[in-house]
This record gives sequence, structure tokens and C-alpha cells, in this order.
Amino acid sequence: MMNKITAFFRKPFAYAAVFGTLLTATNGYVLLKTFMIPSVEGYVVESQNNSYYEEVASEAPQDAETTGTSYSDENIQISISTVRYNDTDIYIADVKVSSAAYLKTALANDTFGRNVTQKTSGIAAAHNAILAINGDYYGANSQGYVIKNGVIYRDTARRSTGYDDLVIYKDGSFGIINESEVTAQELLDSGVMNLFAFGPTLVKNGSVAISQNEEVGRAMANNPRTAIGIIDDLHYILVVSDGRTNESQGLSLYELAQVMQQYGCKTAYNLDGGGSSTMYFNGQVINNPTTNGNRISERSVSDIVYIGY
Amino acid sequence: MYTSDINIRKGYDRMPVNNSRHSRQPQRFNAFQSYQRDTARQRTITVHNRYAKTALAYAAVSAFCLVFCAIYEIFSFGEHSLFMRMMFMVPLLGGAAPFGLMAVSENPPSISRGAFNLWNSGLAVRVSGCLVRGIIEISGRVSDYDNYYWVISGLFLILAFLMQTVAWRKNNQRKG
Repeated sequence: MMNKITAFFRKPFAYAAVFGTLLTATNGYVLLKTFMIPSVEGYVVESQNNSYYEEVASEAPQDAETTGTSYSDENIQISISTVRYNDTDIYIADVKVSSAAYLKTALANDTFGRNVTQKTSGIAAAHNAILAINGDYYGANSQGYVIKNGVIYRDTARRSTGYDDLVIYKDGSFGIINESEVTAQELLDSGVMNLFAFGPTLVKNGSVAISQNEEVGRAMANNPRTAIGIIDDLHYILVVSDGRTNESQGLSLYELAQVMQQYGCKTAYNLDGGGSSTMYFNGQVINNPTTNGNRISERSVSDIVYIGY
Repeated sequence: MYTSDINIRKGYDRMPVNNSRHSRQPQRFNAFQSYQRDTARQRTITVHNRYAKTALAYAAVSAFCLVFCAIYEIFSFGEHSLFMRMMFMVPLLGGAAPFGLMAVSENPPSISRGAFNLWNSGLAVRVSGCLVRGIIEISGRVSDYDNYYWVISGLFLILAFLMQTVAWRKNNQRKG
């Protein structure tokens, strides 16, 4: 038997053919596992901070005033404007809430795992969101803290990317942390309700936090973008820009940071962009998400940030 | 040089025949020496050619990696990965450069087929690691999978080195 195997591998290119086939198959599997094959690791559970969400109204009041670009009730006020900057359409949602409990996150299919995805509009509709944007696409990575609505789903620090995380505390304030300096449990104990691990930080203490000449590909290129920022206590802006189309070229991170600063953000953070960038309002996607290049189509994502009851 | 070249080096397959021209002992001895010189020269030329071909093949792979990276970046919306950009260095430094040097050296070392295959495999796995890491990085994701590539390629390269060392020692013992 061994002689036959040895004889086979002595044939010209036999070893190369077998090894090449195995290596190609391995590469294919790794890429499929990274990008396509869902891996469920758990399901959405209720936060131990139940009272946090129970203290606020659980249903929208009947007297809410809604237009194509605004929503207003006694707890939530949303105003959406579209501006043109750098040949790009930018959708800016100005949000004021009476409690930070109205600023929530949701996972695709209420399931935690890699490559578990659903369209932003689908997740938003399932949670009766008034306004929603895509989140940090935690499911694309095997590392990095995942804290959503006061629950730790993953506590392994992400490989150093040079970027910090955004945390939202119970009182609605924003903070910037580095995963190498604090554990997920410590964050939860300090009152963190939601964490976003994408980045980079766009605005910090009211100043643009990234360099114009930052030599990071993703920072320099014009792309669709998604960002979240805090202007004042319980006063936020959620921003989505179009890009990769003839109508909108997209924004660099520096340009996005400038926009966030101009709107008065004290802290602003970049979320997953590109084809993921989606803004949903009152049952409709209001921007032009681009999936697979220039095709206008909404991409499925792992998670969203939303305003709702 | 591969193991199959040993017969050519020894010259057993084309020994001079003992005809009337080679009937006297000194003449036959001189003819054999001359034959040995010829086969050694022929063997060196064969090995040089083989190493030169291998170096050229690796240079072509290296060029392909560069072109592949350039085309990939055209469609990556401005994203890039250092791993994908440096991918071409693996076949260049691990293949084209050493085999090119051996192709021009006066006494090129013999390399066993097994060690040669393992070395090529190590480089192939390393290039794959760069490719996979590059694709994942450009997509904006983070993954641990590339770590396996570095470890496995390292094992292949170490095994190749060990196998070749053993082959050289055996060869030296045979000569001794």
C-alpha cells in the first residue's frame, strides 16, 4: 500500500495536484466560514437590568405626530433632514428622547452568532422601531466585545485594530473605551448598556478625532457611511450617507467627522459602512444602500441601533 | 538536483564500452575520467537549468500576486491590506531568490524531491494565508483563521529543511 502511495507521488505533478486541490478547498472553506456560513452561538436574552426598560413606556402613545421626515410624541422627537455635502446625499436624524432606554439595539433574528444576518429594515420592523440604522456588524468578527441592551454576548477582546469602542451608559451618555484596558464585565458593572466595536472615533470632546491624512484605506476612501453621535444629554444624531453611485460619491471618514462636528456632536463614532449603511424610518428605508458595488439594494447585517418602544 | 539525477551523476547508464580503441588500460582509464568530467558537467548544466526554471516559475507567481492584488484593490472601494500587498514577497524571497542564486552558483546543492515538495508547500500555504488575511481585512472583518496558515506553513518549511539536512548527511556518509 505504502509503495503504491509512494509511487503515485513520484509521478510528475501528482503531489502538486493533490496538495493544490487540498489547499484550494481549505481556502474556500475558510472564506465560506468567514463570510457565509452562519454559526449560531446563542439567542437574545433579557437584560438583568429589566427595570431599566420597564420604567419607560412600552408602547407608542396614540397621539404621536408623524410626517415623512419627523416623528414626535411625549417621549421621542425625531427630525430627519437630507443635506448635500461633497457630492453626497447625507441623511441626518436628530433625535431627542426622555430616557436612554428608548435608544436600543437589536440582533438579526434575535440570534447571536457569526454570519447571522437580516436586513436592517427587517430587524427594525420586527422590533417596531421608529428609526433605525445599521450597527457595528459584530457578526463579521470572531473577536471583540458584544454588549447589547445590557447583556454580554461576547467577552473576548478584539485583535488590535487601533480603534476604540463606543459605549452607551444607562444615563444615555457616550464613552470611548479600549478593549485591551477593560473587561466586558467591568464595562457592564459600570453601567454600560450598549457597546459598538467598529470605529474609529470621529469626534471626541467636540473635536475631530481623526487626521485628514490618516493613512488608513478605509479612512481615505469615499464610501457610504453610518455614524452615531451625542450632542447633549439624551440628544443624539444618527447619520447615514450614500455613496458608490453616480448621484453620491460617498464620504471619507474625515469628511464624516467634519459633518458630525458641524452638527455639534461632543462624541461621534463610525459604525459599519459601505453596503451596510442603511437608515430606516417609519417603515421605509430612506437612503440608497448599495450592495455588491453600485446596485441599490439593502444588505443584511448582524445588528441595528434603533429608537423605539 | 533531485534524487533521480544520482544515476546521471554516477554515469552508470552510459559507461564507455571496452572496444579495441580502449583495449589498453591507461587509455581506458583516461576515457573514464573524461567521461566522468563530461557527466559532471552535464549534470551541473541540468541542475542549473532546473533551478533556473524553478526560479522563473516563482518569479511568475510573484508577478501574478502583484497583479492580482492591484486588480483586487480596484474593486475594493479604496480598502487595502498590507498582507495582500506583501503577498508577492513570499514567492520572491522564498522561491525566486534562493533558486535563482542556486541556478548561477558553480556548485549547486542537490535538493531531494521530498524537501523540494515540502518547501513549495510551505510557500503555497503562506501565500494562501496572505491572500485569506488580505480578503478578510479588506472586507473589514477580523478573523483568527490566518493563524493556522502561519503555523502550518512554518511546519512545512521546517520539515523541508530537516528532510534536506538528513539527505545531505546521508549523501556525505555515502561519499565518506
